[in-house]
Amino acid sequence: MPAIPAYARILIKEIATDPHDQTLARLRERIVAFAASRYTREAAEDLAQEVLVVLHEKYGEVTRLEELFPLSLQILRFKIVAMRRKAYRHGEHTQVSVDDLPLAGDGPDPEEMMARQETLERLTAAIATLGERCREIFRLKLQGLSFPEIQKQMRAESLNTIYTWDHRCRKQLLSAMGGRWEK
Amino acid sequence: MNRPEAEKLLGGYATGTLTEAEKAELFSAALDHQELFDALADEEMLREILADPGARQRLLAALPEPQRVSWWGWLRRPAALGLAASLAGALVVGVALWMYSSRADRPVVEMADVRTAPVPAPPENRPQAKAVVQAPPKVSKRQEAKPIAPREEKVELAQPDQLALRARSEASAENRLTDQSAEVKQKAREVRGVIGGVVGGVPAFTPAAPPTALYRIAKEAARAVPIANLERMDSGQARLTVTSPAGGVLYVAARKGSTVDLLTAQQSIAGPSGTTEARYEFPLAGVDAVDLYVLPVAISNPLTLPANGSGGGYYRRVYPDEKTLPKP
Repeated sequence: MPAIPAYARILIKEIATDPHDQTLARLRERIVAFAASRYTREAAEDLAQEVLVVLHEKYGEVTRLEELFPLSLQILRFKIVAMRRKAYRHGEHTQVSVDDLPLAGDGPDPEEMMARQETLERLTAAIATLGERCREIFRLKLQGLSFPEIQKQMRAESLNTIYTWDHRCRKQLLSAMGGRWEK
Repeated sequence: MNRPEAEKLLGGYATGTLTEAEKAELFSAALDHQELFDALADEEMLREILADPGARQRLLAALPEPQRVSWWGWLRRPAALGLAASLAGALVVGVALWMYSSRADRPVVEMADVRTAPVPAPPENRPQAKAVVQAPPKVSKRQEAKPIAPREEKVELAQPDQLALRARSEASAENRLTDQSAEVKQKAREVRGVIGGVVGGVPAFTPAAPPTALYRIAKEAARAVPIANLERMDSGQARLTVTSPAGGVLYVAARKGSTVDLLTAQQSIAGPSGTTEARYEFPLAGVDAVDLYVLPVAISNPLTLPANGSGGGYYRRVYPDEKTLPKP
């Protein structure tokens, strides 16, 4: 594993001293903990640093948490996929001849597309097992309705009722998919 | 916002339907709680899929909008059909019971009393003829609950000690029925022959009367018995209209518990064929029953009628009920 670049360490220090960027420091801490629960500690730190570097270099103007948070999660996911691909190419799990490796193209990764398609099929099958209310909530969410709008649509007594219903439905859906969205 | 409350917003993250306030609450909580952050990071895969419009459309196609059931569609459901059938059945039964009870409470003497008509007959033959046509009176449950003694109807005629007296009184009443034609009397005798009467101990010739003639005879005979109609006035009064046959002396008594009041007719009009229509009005409150007596002759003390009976004359008791009495 490559060592943490020096500029990234400096960046961390800067973040820690800047009150505005305290959010980034906490974000890094969460990313490291999340990645460490699935990969090695070193890989987790690398992932966190890479996410922060991208945020710093390309999205320096994004400061609002409502935008920064999903953006960092999206970058994290891209980095994780790239890390897996790199590990596969390096033959860390299986030794594959260089001649068998497909050439990288501009289009989407076929493996990733296949995995996404498979997840979508599993998701469709899992949704079909849900109750009528859960399917209705999921349908309204897919139509872009917010929770307050869903509350009006379903004539629920309070917004918290919708939160509770959706939370239970999400648990049921996750359980129907085997506990994880990804296979 | 604490973690459990923030967790409830997770479902809106992947679909991108959280409001700005909800996003701020969820992300702030995720920075404080690692479990929530992990859940959000795992949710990223789902969010990525749902961000694809094609995938959304495919999922929406698998989630058809629940069809709004119209009232006609709802009625056509088996459960609704069963409910409607049950209600209809209950309605029919209710109407039938109401009609039956209202008919039982109607204080009008009907065709069933034809058997008590003063048809001329030899006194020795009367008991046999009466015994054949007597039927047990129908008493409804409400009438049984009344504290007053049950209706006496004409069953009392079957008592041997009163038969002779009744036969004599009917014979005298018959003599006063001057409006009845000879043909009617002849048909009446034929009817008695059909019933099975015995004349002089020898089976009489009993020619069968045609149905039309039998019906006409019965109708003529029904005119000879009093017809009582009890109505409830708006003022709380009751109006009793009695059409008594010619030749009979009518007495009407109102029973209030153990006391008996003899009612006096407010109006008396002579009707066709010698009948008399008498009208009585009295306070309905407290009256348990109204007794009608039609005697062949007048008596000196009518107040003794409840104790001594009708003496072979006509007797009927009607039960006024404020709830069921019709209005005029």
